Amino acid sequence: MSSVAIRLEGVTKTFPGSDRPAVAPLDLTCGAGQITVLIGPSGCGKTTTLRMVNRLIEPTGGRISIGGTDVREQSVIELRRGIGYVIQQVGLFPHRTIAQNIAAVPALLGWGRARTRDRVAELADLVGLDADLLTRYPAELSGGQQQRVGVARALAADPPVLLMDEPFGAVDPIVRGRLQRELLDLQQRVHKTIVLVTHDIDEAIALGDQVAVLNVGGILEQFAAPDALLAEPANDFVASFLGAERSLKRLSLSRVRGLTLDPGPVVPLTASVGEAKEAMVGHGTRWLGLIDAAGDFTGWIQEEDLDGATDLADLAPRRTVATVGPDDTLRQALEVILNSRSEVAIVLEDDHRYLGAVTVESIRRELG
Amino acid sequence: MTALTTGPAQPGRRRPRGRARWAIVGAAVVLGALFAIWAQGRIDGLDASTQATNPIIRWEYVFERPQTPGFLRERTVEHLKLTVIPVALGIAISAVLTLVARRLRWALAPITVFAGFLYTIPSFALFAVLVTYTSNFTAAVTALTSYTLLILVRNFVAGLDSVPPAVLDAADGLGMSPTRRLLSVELPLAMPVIMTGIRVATVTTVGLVAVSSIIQLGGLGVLIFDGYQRSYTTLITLGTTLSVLLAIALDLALDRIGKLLTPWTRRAVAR
Repeated sequence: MSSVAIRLEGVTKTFPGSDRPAVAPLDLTCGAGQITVLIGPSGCGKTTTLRMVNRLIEPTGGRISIGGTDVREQSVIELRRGIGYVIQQVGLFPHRTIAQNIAAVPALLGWGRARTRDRVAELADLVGLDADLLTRYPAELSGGQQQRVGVARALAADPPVLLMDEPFGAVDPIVRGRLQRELLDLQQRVHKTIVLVTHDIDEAIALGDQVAVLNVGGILEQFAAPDALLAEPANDFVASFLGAERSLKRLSLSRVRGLTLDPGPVVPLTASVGEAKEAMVGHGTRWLGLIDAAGDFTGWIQEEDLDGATDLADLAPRRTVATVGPDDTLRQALEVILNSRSEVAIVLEDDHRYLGAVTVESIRRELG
Repeated sequence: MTALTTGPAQPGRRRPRGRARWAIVGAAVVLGALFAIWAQGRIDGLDASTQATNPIIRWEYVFERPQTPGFLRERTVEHLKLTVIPVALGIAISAVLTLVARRLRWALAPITVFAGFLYTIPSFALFAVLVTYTSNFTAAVTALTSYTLLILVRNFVAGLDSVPPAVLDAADGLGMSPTRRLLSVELPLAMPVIMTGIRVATVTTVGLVAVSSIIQLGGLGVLIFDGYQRSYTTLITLGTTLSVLLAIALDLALDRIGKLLTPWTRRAVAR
């Protein structure tokens, strides 16, 4: 399935009986295969905007196209069958089994029995639902399981576009975090063009490739990747909406791999005792990491260990070290640094190969 | 998700409701028996000749008169017919009125007011007026049908209104046509409330049919009026008892049908 972009051009909505538009002329391009998050306070028109894409609400003006095709070119029924739709209250059909719920759109499209059954099984597996849940009714499932069914139902006919209206708003924080991670994993595999509405800035930062911050009346204040948003809020509204701790939030977005790592206070095992002492003085530390010929981190030694030593290879290095992996976030790295007396996190690839060191200073450089 | 949510939990959940149902039937039987004992006591106080001719029930009439079983069956079938036809017509008319009220929200108030007005007309009066214009049968069916409308329309509308908005939003969002949504989502989900309305309308109609026998349409009311005119208590007792039993039987049957139509409501709601 090739991905398609959703383009909004000068889209407006004024509800009957209202003199002020719910959505001001809005231009927005939701990148193909990306998660675009719409966020803003109540009354910012984020849900209205989402619902205009599948024409549950008809725009007053402007043009919305999916993959270059105007959404008004086909009937609403056809259009909606080609767009996945997930809502906060899930809206599963209480009188249909889970399998029937997932198969809702295939049933509308008139798929055969075998094809539908295979697809339901595939989707249940994709969203992490036990096969024995398929014969149950929605009321017999937990909130988190119901939301997984909601996602499976939206994906059933493999639509290129997925609209999600506060999909994780009704579940508890622990389940929400898990569902968010599952959505990102899922997206790695399905590459849908997802438009997601939320009022939770942390969710927007965690899920969005692009985040559109909307103000009351559907005014687009900023449209940027989460890191750019946090690093350079366009105005006071965006800054206040992002809240305090912007730097801490950014830490969750960056990976250790992306840092310019310090070489760190380490010497190869082949170095002399004198060179080791010099290195300690040079780095201003009272300890030193040792690297073997293969580039693996073998452990660390203290200044006292060098007294009377003749060869570093004879020493028994200490193994307990504060380490992070290259795929850990800077937030995790900072946590390690704060808990380490040495104020350094050693970066190891696959738990053994030495890549460098992270310090508070190197993190600050990255955010700066 | 634990094993508690599967099979074994269901009978446990269903039992209380089933028990309540049988408690009502049991209470009716007990009350009936108490009434019989009380009435028998009253009759015991009467002089011997009256007592001999007019007990609360004369079992010989039921068991030893050869034409009785056929007579009772005929009256019961007539009664059933005069119940089922108006209720069926009422369902059809109410369905149309409900669809109209759904399409034109402002029409709901006039429709319910009119149905409520029909409901307030005394049945005797309505029969009397209608027979002057049409046949007895049409008059009875018209009157009885009009009495079902209030209950049925109100329950049909309430049933459709009880469908969660999120379910309707999802149905629209998935690309269901309005007709498909109505038939495959709204109607099944409204079914419990709709069936409640049909049950109430049916039981009410069974009671009203008795009155319609004053215009010579048969039914169990014949026994009651005959018994009254001839001061023959046995007929009154039989007519009343059979009418009550018919109402209970129809109510239980409709309850059963309703359950079969809504299997999802019987599964345990456990998380």
